[in-house]
Amino acid sequence: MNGRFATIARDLGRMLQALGGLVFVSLLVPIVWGEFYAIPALLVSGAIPFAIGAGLARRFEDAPEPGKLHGMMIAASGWLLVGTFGSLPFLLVAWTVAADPSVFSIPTRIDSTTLAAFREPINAFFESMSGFTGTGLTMTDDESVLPHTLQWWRSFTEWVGGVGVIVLTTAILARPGSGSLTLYESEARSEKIHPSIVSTVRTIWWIFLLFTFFSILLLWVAGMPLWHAINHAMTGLATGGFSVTDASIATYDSVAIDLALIPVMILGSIAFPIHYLVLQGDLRHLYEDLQTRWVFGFFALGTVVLVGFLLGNGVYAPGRSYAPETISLFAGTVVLDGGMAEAFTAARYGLFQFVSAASCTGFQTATNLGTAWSAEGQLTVVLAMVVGAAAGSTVGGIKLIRALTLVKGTVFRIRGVFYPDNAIRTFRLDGRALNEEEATREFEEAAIIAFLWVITLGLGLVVLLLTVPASFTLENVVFEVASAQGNVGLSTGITGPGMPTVPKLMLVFNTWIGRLEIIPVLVLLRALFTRFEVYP
Amino acid sequence: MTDQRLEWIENSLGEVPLVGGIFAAGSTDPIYDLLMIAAPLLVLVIRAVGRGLVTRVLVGLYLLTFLSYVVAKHVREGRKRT
Repeated sequence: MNGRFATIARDLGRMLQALGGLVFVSLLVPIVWGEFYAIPALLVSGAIPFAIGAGLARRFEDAPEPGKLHGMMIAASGWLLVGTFGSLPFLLVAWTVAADPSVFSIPTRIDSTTLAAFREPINAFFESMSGFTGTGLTMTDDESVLPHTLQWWRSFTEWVGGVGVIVLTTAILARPGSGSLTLYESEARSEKIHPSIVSTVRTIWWIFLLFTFFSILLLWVAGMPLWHAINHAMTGLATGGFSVTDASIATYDSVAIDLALIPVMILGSIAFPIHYLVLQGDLRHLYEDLQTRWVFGFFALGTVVLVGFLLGNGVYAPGRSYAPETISLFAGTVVLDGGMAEAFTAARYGLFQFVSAASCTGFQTATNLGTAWSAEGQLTVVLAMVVGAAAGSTVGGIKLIRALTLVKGTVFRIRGVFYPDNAIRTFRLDGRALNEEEATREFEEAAIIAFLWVITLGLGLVVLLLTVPASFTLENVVFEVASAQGNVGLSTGITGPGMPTVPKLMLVFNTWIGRLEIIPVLVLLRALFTRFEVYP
Repeated sequence: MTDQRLEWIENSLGEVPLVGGIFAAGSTDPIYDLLMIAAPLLVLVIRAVGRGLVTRVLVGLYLLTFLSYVVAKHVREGRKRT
């Protein structure tokens, strides 16, 4: 094996070892909840990747250290590999329950059709990839009846994947136009969190852990049961969106819980280097940093537009099937009805769903999103999913900084026509003055990513249109593919265990390519094609 | 609290077995480290006691302390900057 692949194999081995460790850590959950039947399945699920990983790491321990190209290929193949082996707990727990060995007293409620779906390897793989990519689309039809072990494993995959993507974008993929480099090279913030990748990763873990505990306690005090708060804090902060309830956050029908989750999702949408600076005692970055300012601006503007559509279309107008008759707030001291109830409901769902979509979380409070919301309402949510929020955070999508670079870059180019050829012009981005070459580099990167994003979105669209039932409309399919590729997880009902295999695989591809911001996957595919002489 | 005292707490936390690495990795501020320790303890208390007035007040105090400390630190660092 040549040097490049030896390096990749060694590092993939280490990732698999880490995955095995994560599965072993999760053994605590079946012990605490008394789900002893899940322990053998978890032990095997941890031992397999750990043994393979240890073998690879030992076999190639002398391989050269990875460079940037390796980093991309390791990230792309690693996500796929971790997703593949991460499906083992779903698969093995489901088969353990199906086999119902007499040594375990498996509760009858566990043997549901929901769990049976994971006996299909494709469903387990879909769930695992959806988790590790922070997407949140699911193969379960009722999360609440899953064993606690699998509820935890779903949340844990998203949480770990969330940290992974922050590390990926702040430490590995930082390049012109990626937003992360903009963040680092800005004169006001002249360095990374720490100079070395290792200490940066440790600090990211620290911030993530601190925020997770904060979120758990916030959700609990808002009224969520403790187990639900733990899981939703993990998946909310990671902007993943897996839930432990059947109807996501709509289950609680609680304004307080809706409002508590919004800051959790926003925390996950802000670049973690900014969080670090804020925790260091400089709150100015919340409004001085371009990306962060745009996160708040984009969320506010999008919410206003979405609420406007909901009100304009009368989705929650008195008399409509989804309209509440009265809304009781502050322990019944304030009661809203008629037009006030409509306005409040539209604002509540509009705000939550826009933040959930733009932060790429995918929590759902509006159960009628795919059925009663108008096409323009759904497409507003699609726009949020495509754009996303800050680079260097846990969100998916194109990222606001790229959208901003494209908008400003386009204006810069058009204005350039009116200047003489020898004019010296500077492109200003986030307080930085870029020369022509730097501006071109940033603009190119953003344009390439956006272009590839649209192409892969289109590919997913065609495949789904050809394979899903005709009862789903075009906007439903656009919504579903954008949700998968933006790693959001909102669904119009297309995704589920009954879905044919081809669209399942297509959506997995969309989630994978979306999580890695496309280019690393293309680099990996090119390297594989070259290695196996598909083309020179 | 004086800077020397804060530094002493920080160094001590960094030497705690098993979890010392986590404290050493994050902010150099021991108050955040204490908040990091307090949160899982609170979760355990909630698990043991359940939802009641005491646990609600404790959690409320935790959240309030966290937020007010971030603001207070900003003010203190702002004074140093100027």
